[in-house]
Amino acid sequence: MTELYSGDFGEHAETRPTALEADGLGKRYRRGWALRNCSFRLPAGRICAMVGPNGAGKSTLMSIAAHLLAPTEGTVELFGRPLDAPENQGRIGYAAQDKPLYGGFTVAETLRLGRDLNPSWDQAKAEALLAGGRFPHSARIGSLSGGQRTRVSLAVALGKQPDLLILDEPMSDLDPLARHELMGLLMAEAAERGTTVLMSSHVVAELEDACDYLVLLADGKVLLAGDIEELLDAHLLVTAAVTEDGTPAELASHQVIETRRNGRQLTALLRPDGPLPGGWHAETPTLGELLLAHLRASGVPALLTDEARPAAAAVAA
Amino acid sequence: MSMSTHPGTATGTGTRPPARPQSGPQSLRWLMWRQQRLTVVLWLAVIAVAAVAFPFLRSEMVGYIDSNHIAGCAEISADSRCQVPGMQQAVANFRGSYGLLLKGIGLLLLLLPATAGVFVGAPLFARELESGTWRLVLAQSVGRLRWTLAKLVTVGLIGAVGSAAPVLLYRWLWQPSANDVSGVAWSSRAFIVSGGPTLIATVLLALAVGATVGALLGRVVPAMGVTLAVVAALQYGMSMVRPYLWSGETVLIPQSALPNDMWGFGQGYLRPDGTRLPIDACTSSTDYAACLGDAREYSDVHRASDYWPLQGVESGICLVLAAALVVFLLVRTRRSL
Repeated sequence: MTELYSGDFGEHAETRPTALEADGLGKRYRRGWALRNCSFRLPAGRICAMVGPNGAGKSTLMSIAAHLLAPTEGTVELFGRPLDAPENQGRIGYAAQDKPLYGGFTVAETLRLGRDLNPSWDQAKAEALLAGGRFPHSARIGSLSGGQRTRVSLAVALGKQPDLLILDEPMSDLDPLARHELMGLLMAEAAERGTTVLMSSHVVAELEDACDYLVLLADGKVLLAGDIEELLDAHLLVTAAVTEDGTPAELASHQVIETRRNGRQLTALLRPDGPLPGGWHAETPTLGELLLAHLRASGVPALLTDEARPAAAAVAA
Repeated sequence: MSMSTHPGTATGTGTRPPARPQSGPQSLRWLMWRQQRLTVVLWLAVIAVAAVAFPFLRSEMVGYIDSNHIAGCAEISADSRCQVPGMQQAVANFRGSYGLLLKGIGLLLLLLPATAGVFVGAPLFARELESGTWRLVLAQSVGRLRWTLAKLVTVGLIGAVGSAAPVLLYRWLWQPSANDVSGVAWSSRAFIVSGGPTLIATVLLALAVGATVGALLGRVVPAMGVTLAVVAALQYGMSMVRPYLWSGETVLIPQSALPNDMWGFGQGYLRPDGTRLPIDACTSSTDYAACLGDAREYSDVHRASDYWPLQGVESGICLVLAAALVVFLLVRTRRSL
């Protein structure tokens, strides 16, 4: 029987089960497509950053993955099954960007809601998240500040003990201290339970520390997806003194993402294909450099690591 | 740092609670109660006031009727028992006081469907959609179909019980002076809906209308406005078709001479050959008697025995419409994902 598992699977050094797989996903609103032909795979246990400019389709994608929005086209699978499979009931924790909560409920009542509606609820875990918030459980949600509401929202999402935690801009209105504390609690929880996390953010620094996986969205499409180290290693930031204008001919054999000129010094971010010409100083880009270069450039082909390619697409290729 | 031991998270592995405590099936009961408790408490208070006041009122009415011996007497009555001097005055006095109150309560109850539709039905989904809280609930382990159904069943129960109580109380208050003494006939605008199951069915329909409009519009205030308009139109339309929901009969009694327990809903002149003339057929004629000939004035009527069939048909129509809206909402909920 082992022969069955050799071959195709051998390509991945480590084949983890899939937490989330989007295949040809598209969502059209009245004003146009928010998401188009979006495909990627998120292996289980990863902490994935979803990055992209405003309007790139992050929230749309997350809403679809949380089974709150129907896609116009394409499919999403959760742990190898369709989103609405009975096995997937209750496996996703989701905190929406605007942190919707019942304004008239107290904090305690909001937790009660989580406890009543989730068989896997862990009250202690939810309360631990609230502990640093310095507000009583008897406080009404409507009387809390934005950051405090965010904390309650995260407590409900985490108390559910989901297998996939989807957080849309989770830290946006938290102060740096609370941000650090909650991110720490989140990561500890993910490490303890092997939770897969998908979170969007604008703050690259915040993601760099916590995340090991990246999905970069631009204009409703996936531009980069995969293990962050692997993606960084697939790129080089090269620098040299150059006299002529335009992109130097010696870089032509490589995929140049973006070039920047500072006086006579030219810096280029590229996906190397073969050895670099002499005289260029090369280094691995930082995550920030990688993201910014891709967002500034246009018409860059998408790059998905093997791990990030959906199984269906991989078979087709 | 103090080392406090949480009772639920004792350190010994033996006392550690299971990682996934089985607290039974997810229950929406508390959430449903929490979201409707203000409505329930307010309405219970109103019903409590009626439940306390109505017995007093009723015993006063019964006392008045007994002491004046006017039971079963109308203001104008063919019954010789009622033609004792002073009796007609007593009936008139009753109608001017208790009768007006009885009529007022009945007409007030007619506003219950619109009130329920606007303040309970319309916000049911509109508020969740407007504030985004539907995403909070549906991000938990509860299917959207179950949640939608739970919300509808909750307000349906509140609507059914909350309207059955005043209907029964009002009916009980009405009974001693029914039709004749109070002048509030079973067929009157004040009683025909408010005193029977039709009010319950209409409240349920209004709730379903409100919930549907709210789910479609997704905004509370516009949903309230549209619900009010739709429920008012439905109630008006129902009042127009009501007499025709059950077949009546034709009697050769002028409308003005009908007994109080007969509901005249049509009138005219009937020729011996069976042809009918409108009531004003001869008003412009110069020779009134010749115009009419041997035609006699008739009335289309429902007898008191038609009350329950009429109630049944009208309630049935309301319930079928309400059920159709509920099915529409559930199908829509299902299809939206």
